[in-house]
Amino acid sequence: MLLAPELRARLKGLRLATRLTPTGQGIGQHASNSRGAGLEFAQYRAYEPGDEPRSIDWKLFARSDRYFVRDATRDSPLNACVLIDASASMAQADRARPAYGKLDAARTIAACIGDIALQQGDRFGFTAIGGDGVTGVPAGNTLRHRDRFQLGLQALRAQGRVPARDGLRLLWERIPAASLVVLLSDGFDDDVVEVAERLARTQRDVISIQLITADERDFPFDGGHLFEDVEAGVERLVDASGVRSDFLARFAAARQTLARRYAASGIRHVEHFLDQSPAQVLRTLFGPRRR
Amino acid sequence: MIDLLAPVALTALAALAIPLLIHLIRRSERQRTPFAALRWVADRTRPRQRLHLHDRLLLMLRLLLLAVLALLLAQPVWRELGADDAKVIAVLPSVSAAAARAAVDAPTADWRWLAAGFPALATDEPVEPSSDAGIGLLRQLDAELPPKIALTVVVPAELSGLDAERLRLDREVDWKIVAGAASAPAGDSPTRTALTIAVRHGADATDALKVVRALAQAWQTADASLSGRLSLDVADADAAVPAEAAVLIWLVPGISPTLDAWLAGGGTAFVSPSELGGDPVWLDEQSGEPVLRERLIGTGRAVSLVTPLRPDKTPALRDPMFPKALARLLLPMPTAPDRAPAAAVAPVRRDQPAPAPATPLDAGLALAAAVLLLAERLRATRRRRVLA
Repeated sequence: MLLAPELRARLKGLRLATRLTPTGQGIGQHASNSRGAGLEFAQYRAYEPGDEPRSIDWKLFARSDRYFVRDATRDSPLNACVLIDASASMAQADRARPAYGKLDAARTIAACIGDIALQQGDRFGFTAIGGDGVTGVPAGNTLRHRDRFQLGLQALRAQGRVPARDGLRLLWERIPAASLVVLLSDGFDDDVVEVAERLARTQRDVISIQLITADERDFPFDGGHLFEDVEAGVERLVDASGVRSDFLARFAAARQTLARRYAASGIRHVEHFLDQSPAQVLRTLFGPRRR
Repeated sequence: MIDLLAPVALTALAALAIPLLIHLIRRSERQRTPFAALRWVADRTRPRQRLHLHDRLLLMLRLLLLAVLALLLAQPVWRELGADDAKVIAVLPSVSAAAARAAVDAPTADWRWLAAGFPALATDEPVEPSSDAGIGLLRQLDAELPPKIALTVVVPAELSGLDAERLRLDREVDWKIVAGAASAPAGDSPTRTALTIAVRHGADATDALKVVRALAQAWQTADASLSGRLSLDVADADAAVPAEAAVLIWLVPGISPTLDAWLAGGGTAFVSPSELGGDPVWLDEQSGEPVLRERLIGTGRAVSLVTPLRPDKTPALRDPMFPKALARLLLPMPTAPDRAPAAAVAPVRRDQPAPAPATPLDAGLALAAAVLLLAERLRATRRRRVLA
């Protein structure tokens, strides 16, 4: 059970939307660029060999002596893909709540997105990149698919590092163009940021949610600590009270740099702190627009 | 003044280092804290090397607890020194209160009788003037008084009840001798009084009486103090025993009311021949058989010989040690001289003064240690505040 009832209740009114026009097949709620026979008139275009003769607008032919074909628009479903960073650093949790790490927050948010997508009839799936390479559940839009999706999320483990470029080839097959990609990552790994940028360049609508623990935001440590970076395999004896202000300044600068980098690539970027409710960040991204 | 009976135990204070070390060790540095954002933590700031003590209240409690325990091991006592100008005047009961007050001019001082319990000299003659224990009590008074208090003792010209030990006290004593008063009524020394031995015999006791006379002769020869004052009162068994007789020698076989009455009155008797029995007190050197037996009857004492007092019936009589052994069992011991002029027995000061009377402080310290231990446990096992 990934979603608590009160969290599920707060998801009402949220709507997944993409700036791109989806290309998927089937009937959906999103304006699509797939044209053809339909109800709503889109445009006239010149006749090309292969078009059905019955699609030619004969009245217009009578007026203009040219062959034009009527095009209609169709609403298509969205393809929502949650991209989860499952590297070892995602196991980071707050001292106050050691059982709830970044990966747990990512699971919850992913499950929320899956729930919203299922309600809209959109296709959803997730892809995880981490020590196991590229794993995940391909897109689908049925109720059974949601269970498969949630089971796959439960099986995720935060370990290893994000594979290099060659190891991510599978990613491009899993995330088709014009997909809505929600990246759940701590943003500490440059490889993941690069992947997001490349996805944004190749016709995917990428949204980045950076997961930050409250300890990283506030640095509430005092006295000497033996800090350990599991992913890098580095440990360092640090006087916490002495480095607090310096760390907070440097970390804020790093977050700002990342936000600018994403903005430059046209990626919507929000930060999510682990002591906040996942509904808050989802409302920021997919809530009704305030004018 | 607080004094320590075992100051060496203060080395236990070295244990204070243990809680200090415990609190100096930074336990947070022993635990690894996973922190993925480590790359933004500055590298140069090593933990500062200054001493850092965490939870100072708990440390204080632990240090106090150990200090109190170490102090408890050192056995602290409270010694009363007394005020500098305080003065106690002890009066021997044989001196009248009026005479004593006339001898010493110190109306504000603490006047005490030198008697059991040291009663105050409020009334004229509150205690029985029995001086026997008086001088011995001076040692007790000296030991119980705080060392700074001056002591004046008012004594008569002649003291009795002295013992063989010179009076050695912890302080200088003002030794006031009041002329005229005597410690005890003058009497003859016990070494001068006559010693009567009553001998009661049955029929045909010629041999036994010979032995008795020989014994008396031997005793007087052996002990010069006996010569001249030892007298034998020889009579038949029917004759009454004089009350002043020191020993009764009973040479009649069988049980007799006269002997029973003598023993019941607390007298000492030598009975021969006798079936009284008792513990063997003298053995025959050759055979090892018990010859003399001693038995306590009421307050009296009977030394008995099973055989008649005749050399042919009792070979042990020929033993040269027999008179001495019998004298030791029968004759009263000479008492030591216990009287002296007061001026000759003035107390001297002891070379190494005994410590002042002390009150142990263990109970209070033990209670404090228990309270501290409780507080320490409460503090150490309290629920840690959850870091928000």
